[in-house]
Amino acid sequence: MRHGNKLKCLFLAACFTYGIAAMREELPPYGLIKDAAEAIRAEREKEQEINAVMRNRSVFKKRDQGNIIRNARITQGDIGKMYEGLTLLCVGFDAAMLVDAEGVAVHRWQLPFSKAWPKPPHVPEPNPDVMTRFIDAEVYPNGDLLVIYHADSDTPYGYGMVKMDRYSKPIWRYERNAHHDMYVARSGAIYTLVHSYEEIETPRVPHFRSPMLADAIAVLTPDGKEQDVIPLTDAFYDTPYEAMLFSDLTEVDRKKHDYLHANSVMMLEEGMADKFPMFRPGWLLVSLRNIHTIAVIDPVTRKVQWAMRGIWKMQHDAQFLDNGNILLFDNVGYEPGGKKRSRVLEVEPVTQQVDWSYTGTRTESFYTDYHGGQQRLPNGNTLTVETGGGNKVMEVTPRGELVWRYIVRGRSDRTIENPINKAYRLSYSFFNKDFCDEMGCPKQHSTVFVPLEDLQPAAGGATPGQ
Amino acid sequence: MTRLLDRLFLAFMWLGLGFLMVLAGAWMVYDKWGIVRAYDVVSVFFSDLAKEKDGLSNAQIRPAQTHILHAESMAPGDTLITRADDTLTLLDAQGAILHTWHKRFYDVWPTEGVQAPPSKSFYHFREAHLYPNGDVVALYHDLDSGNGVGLVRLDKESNLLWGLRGPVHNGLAARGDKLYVLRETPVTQEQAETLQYGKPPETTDELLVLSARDGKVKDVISLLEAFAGTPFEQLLYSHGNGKRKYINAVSIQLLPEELAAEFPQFAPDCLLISFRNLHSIAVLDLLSGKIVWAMRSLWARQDTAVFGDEGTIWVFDNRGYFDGGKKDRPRLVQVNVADHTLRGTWLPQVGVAVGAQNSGDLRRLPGGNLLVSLTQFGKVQEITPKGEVVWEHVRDEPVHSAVRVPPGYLPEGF
Repeated sequence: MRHGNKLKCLFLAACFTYGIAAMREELPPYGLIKDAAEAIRAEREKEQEINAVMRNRSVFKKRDQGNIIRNARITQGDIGKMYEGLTLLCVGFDAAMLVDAEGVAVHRWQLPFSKAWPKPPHVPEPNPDVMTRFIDAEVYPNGDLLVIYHADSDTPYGYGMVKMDRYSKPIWRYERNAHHDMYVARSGAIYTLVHSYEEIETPRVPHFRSPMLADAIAVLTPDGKEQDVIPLTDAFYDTPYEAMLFSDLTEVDRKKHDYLHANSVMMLEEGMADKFPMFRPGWLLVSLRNIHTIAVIDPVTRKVQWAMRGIWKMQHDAQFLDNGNILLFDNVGYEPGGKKRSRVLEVEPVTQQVDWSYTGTRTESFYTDYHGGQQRLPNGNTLTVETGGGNKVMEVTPRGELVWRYIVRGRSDRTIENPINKAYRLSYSFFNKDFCDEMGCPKQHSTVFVPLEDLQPAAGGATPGQ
Repeated sequence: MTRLLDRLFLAFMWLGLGFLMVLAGAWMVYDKWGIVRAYDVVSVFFSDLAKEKDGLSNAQIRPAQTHILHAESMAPGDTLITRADDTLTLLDAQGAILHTWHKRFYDVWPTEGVQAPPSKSFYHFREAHLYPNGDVVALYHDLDSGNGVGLVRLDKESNLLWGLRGPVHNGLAARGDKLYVLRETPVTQEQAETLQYGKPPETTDELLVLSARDGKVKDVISLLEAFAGTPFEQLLYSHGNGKRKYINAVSIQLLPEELAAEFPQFAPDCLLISFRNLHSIAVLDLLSGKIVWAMRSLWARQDTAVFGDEGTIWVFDNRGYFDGGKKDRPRLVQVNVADHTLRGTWLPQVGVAVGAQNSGDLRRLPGGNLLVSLTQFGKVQEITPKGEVVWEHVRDEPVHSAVRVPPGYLPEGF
């Protein structure tokens, strides 16, 4: 080989080796190459997922004619132990409904994202409607509905908030990437979570890379006007809880630069505050999935006043309870026998004692690694939503006895099924008379019993302190 | 002119080709191609070569260095350290050796089939307690597996007083004639059923209460059952538990009498235990044999936990800290016992690793300072509660534990 050719080969080999070294040792242009590679990969994955969903969605439509109620199965243990009322379900892609105890839909809202926002200013290239869904909803007594849209396989996945009337006609829209959860305070103010990719340098947290999927709490007036936005990463700075930011993440979340992944927000109301002497009325409880932390933020100082990590992992839906405890959905923290399960935990925030938990029945546990949630009902029962896996809603007594179950059958791989994203029980008295009359409720129920064994709590499942 | 342009284009072409090759190399790393391992092997080879040049290879261990950084803030006394061998060393503040205790495991238990170095296994002292008369109680660990293998009491001349052979391991506390130590024990069938394991974990831990005089076992408390029926039982079923060592208790500390008033929620006879594989710390009431307080927080696979001042507990966090790099940087975490809140954290300056064992030890000193052993980095540091380093002892070998011996504790002329 000629000397010149040897040099050329050596040059190319050196360049090749430098390429490896650049990625291994984070030498220039590491950042540029990594960002470009991740962007290409994300784009390819999104395209593949959209194609798969479109294919499967057309099959699904042919098979079920879009009637999601047909797949529902209701089992009732003892209707006398249920908390009476209607259950608001966010189910499917762009629908919410109220179902009675027998699972019959008495009212339904439906508003595809493309109809709510023909040209959304906050989402330049939105997903097709089959890849957006109602992730959370709040119903008003007159039948108005607040909903948050989520996108599958797109980041930022929060697609915004819409208030619609009982006939699904939009009233106002909040054109920001609202996501996951909302809380409507007694004053009418609305608290929600927003996120967006931002070019933020965070020298105090060096592994938070820019552009970061920055989470914040947004405070809205009852008519949807933005009043305040509280950035969540900044809220940790200069507090004893700043160390909570230094936690390991899954590879997927690291790639998305999704470092906190806030997924629930709730305000401490005046009447409940005396049960939480360490907090003040108006403070906000948030759940931050990717750092396995729940935190309380003072919206005035905009700082974290309290935060806790515990036995839970990738949790959702943290809520203040009126007995001074905190209730949350622990997605992947429960590992009996090394198997991943989900559970609902009621934790004393001061002592970290688990005062109550629910892990399923003897024959049926539940597990979802995404979403999920629960609601403590006025009679002490707990309504639990398993979004993935069994795709069901369960109502259990304080002793862990299953008294009501609503299952949407079908595949539940989050892309082609009718996922149950959220569920809330509301008493009949909550609704205005004219809306109630329109729905034709309440009515008498027939009782369907299922084998007793199926309804008993699992060992270690739901006794206090278990 | 044409020739110049040709050369220019040629240069651009080669630069372009070079850039494409850089991209190709980078893509192989990003896409996790096997060939990248070759780069790692070569990289490790050169890194080892550089270490040897710096005199950091095992063959060229430098003498230990001791630095007094703020003498006025130090807790007075000498320091007893355990290293990666079967010698206990008592050092003064300048690092001078005052006394050593030496006992080879295979001299204590000659029929155990354990061979002297250079055999594969090497049993060393992991942790020790010094009595005022110069006697020591010391735990042997296997350097390879990390498992505890025995406990001995030696007099000041290193003569054997008694020995307890078995899987007793890190975690040693003494008060009066009682000695508390942890022992690894197989998970029973009944326990396995309770834990709902298809394939049960191999071992759990129990607490032994021994007579310090003769090493006889006075009492045994099952730590797994200590959780049963308490509001902290869910800790047993939570993520990250050990598949082999289910709970892996790694440190115990009795509530110091001088701190008892700061922990009114606990009885005087209670023990703070760190459960490494539960990622939790807990307080065991010795009278009832039940867990009365527990906490899980931002730490992971933590080592020692100790009672601190103002109703706090300090935790040596092994694997909880993450800043985007390798997860091998330890930190100290301070929590308030009364309300389970976080008081603060401290990141030690670790330096160069001299061993593979990702572990450490922590002791509270009179006055509130902390004595921190950074095993992997061969360092012992005394820090103030605000995190200021006031004394440091650095070795080119792992240091497993360090205990400060106050002035006047040992007899005159020891």
